[in-house]
Order: sequence, then C-alpha cells, then structure tokens
Amino acid sequence: MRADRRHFLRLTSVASLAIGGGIALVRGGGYSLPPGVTLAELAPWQWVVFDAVGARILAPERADVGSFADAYVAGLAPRDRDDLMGLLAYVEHLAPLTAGFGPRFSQLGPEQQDRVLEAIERHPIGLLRAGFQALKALALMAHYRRDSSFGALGYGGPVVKWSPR
Amino acid sequence: MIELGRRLRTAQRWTADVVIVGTGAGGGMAASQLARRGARVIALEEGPSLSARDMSQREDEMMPLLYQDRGGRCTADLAIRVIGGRTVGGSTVHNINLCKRLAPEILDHWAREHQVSGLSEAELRPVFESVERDLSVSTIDPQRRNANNRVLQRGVEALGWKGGPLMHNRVGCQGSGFCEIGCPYDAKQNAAKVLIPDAVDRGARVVSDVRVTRVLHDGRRARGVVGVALGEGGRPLADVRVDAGAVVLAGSAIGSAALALASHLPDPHARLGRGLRMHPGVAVAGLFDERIEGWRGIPQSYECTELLDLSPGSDRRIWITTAFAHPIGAAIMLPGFGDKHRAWMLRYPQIAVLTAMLHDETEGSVTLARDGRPRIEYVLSPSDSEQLARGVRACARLLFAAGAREVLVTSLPPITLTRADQIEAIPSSVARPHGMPMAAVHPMGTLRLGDDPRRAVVRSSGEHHQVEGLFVLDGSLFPTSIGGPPQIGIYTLSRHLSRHVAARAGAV
Repeated sequence: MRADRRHFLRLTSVASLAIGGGIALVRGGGYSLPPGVTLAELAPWQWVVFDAVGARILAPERADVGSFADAYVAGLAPRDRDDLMGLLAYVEHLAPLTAGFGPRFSQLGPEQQDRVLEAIERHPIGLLRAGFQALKALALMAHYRRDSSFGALGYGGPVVKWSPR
Repeated sequence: MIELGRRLRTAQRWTADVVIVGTGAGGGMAASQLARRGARVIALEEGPSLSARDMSQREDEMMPLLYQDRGGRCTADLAIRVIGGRTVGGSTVHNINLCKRLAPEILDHWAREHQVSGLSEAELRPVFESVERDLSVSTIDPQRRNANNRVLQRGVEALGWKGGPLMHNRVGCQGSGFCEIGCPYDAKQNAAKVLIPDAVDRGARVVSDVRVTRVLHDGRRARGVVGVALGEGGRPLADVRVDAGAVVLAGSAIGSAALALASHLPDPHARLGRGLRMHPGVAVAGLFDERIEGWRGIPQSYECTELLDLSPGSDRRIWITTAFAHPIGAAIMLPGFGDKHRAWMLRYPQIAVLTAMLHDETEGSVTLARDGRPRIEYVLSPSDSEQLARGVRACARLLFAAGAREVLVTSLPPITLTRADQIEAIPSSVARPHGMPMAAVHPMGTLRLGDDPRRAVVRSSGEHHQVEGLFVLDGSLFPTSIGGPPQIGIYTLSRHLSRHVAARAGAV
C-alpha cells in the first residue's frame, strides 16, 4: 500500500490525538527518566520510547539511544521532527493495540515488543515500514558510532584522530 | 580564501558580473572558468567550508556536515534515500571519484530526440580531455584493487561477463576507504581542491553558509539573487543580496529546481522540476569464507557492464559496481533487528557488497513542500522495478561466481540464498517501492536542456528559455538518465557552457 508523507502525518496524528485524548488518560502517565538524564529536545515519554525501541533493535547490545535521539532530533528540520514524533506516538500507543496488546509499547515485555516491531517492519503500509527503518537507523547509529562497538566487528575505526573543527 | 557566511551579522549587498548558486562540480567549474575569463564572480554555497583537517572518518560526525538533511533526504513516499552534498565542493567532496564521460549514445539521443545542439561527442571530446587532465583522472592501478572489488572482478571473469576497471580523480590516495565521508588526505582532485582555489586565486569571491532563497528577475531578465547567511543549526544570521548581470544555478537537480520554483520563474510549458531521474540503486551482500574487509582500500574501482546498454529503448539498463559501507551504513542496510541483525554484523569482515544501479526511465519531479523545502516525487515504474530485480539477480550471480557461500538480498522480508540455482526464484516484486532499501546518488534532469522551449527549460547554451542571463550548469541539465556517474558530465558541460555565461555577463 502506498501513501505519501501527508497521509503518513494523518495516520500518525491519530496516535498523537490518542496521547492528548481519552486513551492518554489511561496510558499517558508514569514516564520517568533514569537519574542523571537531562533532556534538551525530547519529552520524557519520547526518551523512554526511543530507549525502549533501541533496546530491542540492538539486543543483546545496549546503547543510550534515548539520549542520542535527544541530541539527534535537535538537528532535524521541523517537518522531519514532527514526522518522527508522530511515528513514535504510533509505536507507543497504536502499534501495540493493533498487534493485540493492551499496554503501551514501553510497558511490554521484550518478546511482545519484538512482535510489535516485527509487525511495523513488515506492515503493508510502506511508509510505516520506512518509519521502522528510520527508528532502526537511529538506534544503530547510537551504537555503531562508538569505538567500543568496533572490536566485535573486526573493524579498525578511523585512522585519523581528530574531530571536525 | 573562502569567506564564511556564518560570520556575517549584518545585511549584505554585493555586486558581481555573475553570481553562482552552488559550488559542486557545476558551480566550482563555472567559478573557475568565469574567473579565468575576467568576470567578477561571487559563488554562494549553502553548506560549510571544510578542509581535510575536518574529515574525521566518523560517519555520525561527517554525515550531518557533508550531506543534505544530514543524509536523511528521501523521496516523498520515503521509499528512496536521495543523497546530495552540501559543503563547499558539493557532492564532489563525498563522492567516490568515479569518472566516466557522457556516452556517445546518450549525446546522440539528446541531439536527436531532445533538440540539444552543439554538444556532440566530437564537440565535447576536447572538453572532456581538458577536464580529465585538470582533475588528474586515471585508471586505478589493479594492484590497488581492494578485496571487495576483486570479488566483483572474479565474478565477472568467472561468468565471462563484460566488465573492467574504473577511472577516478584521486592523487596521493592512502587507500583508507573513507571516501564517502570526506578525504582527510586531500587526495580528491575535486571542485573543492582544484577548482574553487583556482577561482579564488583569480579573484572570485566564494562564500559558504549562505542559502539562496530566490532569483531576482522581472520575468525576462535575471538581476541577481537574495538569500540568508546561516549560523549554527541553520539559524538565519543576515540577509544577503547579490546584484549581478548573470545568475548560474548549480545547486543540483534537487536544489536548483527548488530554487527555480521558489523564484516563480516563467514556466509556460510546466517543465520546471519535471523529468527527475536519479539512478536508484539496491545492494546485495555476499558472505565469504575469507575476510574481505570491504571498508579498506579504494572503493568502486571495477564495474560490470553486462546488463548495461545505453542505446535508447534498451532492455539492459543496469550498471553494477561495489558498494561497501562503514559500520553504521552497513548496519542500516542489513535486515532485521536484535539477535538476527547482530549475527550479520558479526560477519561484517566476511561480507562483500555489490550494487545494481538503474539507468532509469521513470520520471519524477521536484516541487516545493509547504515549509519551502524540496519535495521529491519519484515512484519506480513497473518496468524499472523489473530492471532493478534483474540487477539484484545479476549481483547474486556474480557473488556466487566469485565464491560466496551465502547471498543476502536485503528485501523485506530478506531473502537468503545458499545456491546459485535459487537465484531465479527472486521475484520481480523484490525491487518495488519499499520492497528493499534503495538509494539514489545522481539526481538529474529537472531543468532540462534543449532548443525546444515546449520541452526544455534551458537552451542548449544553458540559458533559460524565457529569462535572459539565467543559466543552469549542473545535473539538472541532463534531458535523460546518463547511466553512470555524472560528475565528469557535469564538469564538462559547465566548462563548455560557461563561455555563454561570460558572454552574457560582458566578460571576454
């Protein structure tokens, strides 16, 4: 099934409404950040969902995907940021329901979370599959940017030892 | 010395004979050529000015600096990632340095079917030669062919298919393999290293961090451009206006088309932004017993042209070469997540990757989104999807012929093959939109060249059909796909057509 970005926004706006409306009364509270995490761009619930998605994408590895996403979205154009946040709301609230689970994504167990993500990865709507790829890319970026990830791959990493000025 | 727009704090109004928008292959060449002809040139670049010392060989640091939309630009349906540069030097800073001339078949087709005049192979041959000499183009020494490219060569030779070495513009290459995220050794003989310094030495002003928002014109004559200097995170700092007798659009087939639309150029035949081609490509991975370490060495030094016939109407429209990536790029390409994905990543050193790139007939378009950014509409036609599926099968065949023990087609769901006789089972639908990850690195054709104003936006001289003094000198010009890397074609057309800009601007 094909849809363009505007249709996608309409789709994800349903999820956004869910946050602001009645469903959110039941499902929207209780997001807390680990000690020491401070956010520049994301709301706490967004950090929690990014981190939960990242944990399943990277399993059994771990990376601080929530905080990486907080820094990453700061560089996005407003329209791209809106798309990403709409997608995140979809993953947290609507995708579990459509996969047959009552709780929101961040409250599911690992196996249930994997089933939700697999359903998005193979969703008949191409835009949702692309959305999954975007979340996956973000998590993989958070992990494979670190020198500590290179050894397991046999990858030597950068030859030069400097950063852009 | 390149001037840094990010240091501007007050509104600027400058005057020039020619203002150039974009500093990649087209804009860099135009700046050099026009400065050599004595024109007062100002070239504006939206992205930053980076030196070799800024290239950290880290994907997460370099992608946001070198690429449009931090490397995340996509078609409107999010099915194809569209790669484009945004730094002084444009896409020539991150490209792999592949150098191929515009094919005679393509130029003949343009002349016959698109009323393009003065750009025959015979007329362009001396220009190609000059460009290749100035950019130090040479064939990569076979001794320097890396393991991933040796896999392709082995596959080509085992199958008896057509293939051969590729030419690049690199001198002093250390073979580190980080080309697509910028060269810290300054080995790329590109617009940033060769042409922009030459232009500056001859008096051109080159200003980074300035986004041009509109071409100034009265519907008949171009007068200059207006834009804004950008600070950290794209924050607007100061208005910039350049009054000039000639304006050159050289911001890529995406950027130039978007600027043309934002400027409300006359468009009596609804051609602005239409006709987008972009060589979409897919990747196929092969798992080998031996270590390939495809990230090392010179990428893309060998090609397979068995399925490439550039004659009009050909049913062989696939170009195959190698396409390795560093860990982030590779991880994004590999299918699945969690344990399954991790298992593929742990075999990263044993993977070779080929890419099938389409000489496309699909026509897309560039329009403006509500936020003013380019919106890229491009949906592969069924026949182009079928071509790409043939390309996927051909890559798989090459990998098995080279000794792969497993081949991975990164479709959704992924297809894993363990024997060559399974290849024909790869369905044609594999390369449909969203069927597998696709990327396009060669947008072209949105401001087409040709002498018929009903079909083309600019004349064969590169000048706009309706607006005198407005020129296009980038990949937007190409009336069709060219079926190969475009940089030499763009450098060459820009060099050849810059004389018309000079004449219009009153320079010799």
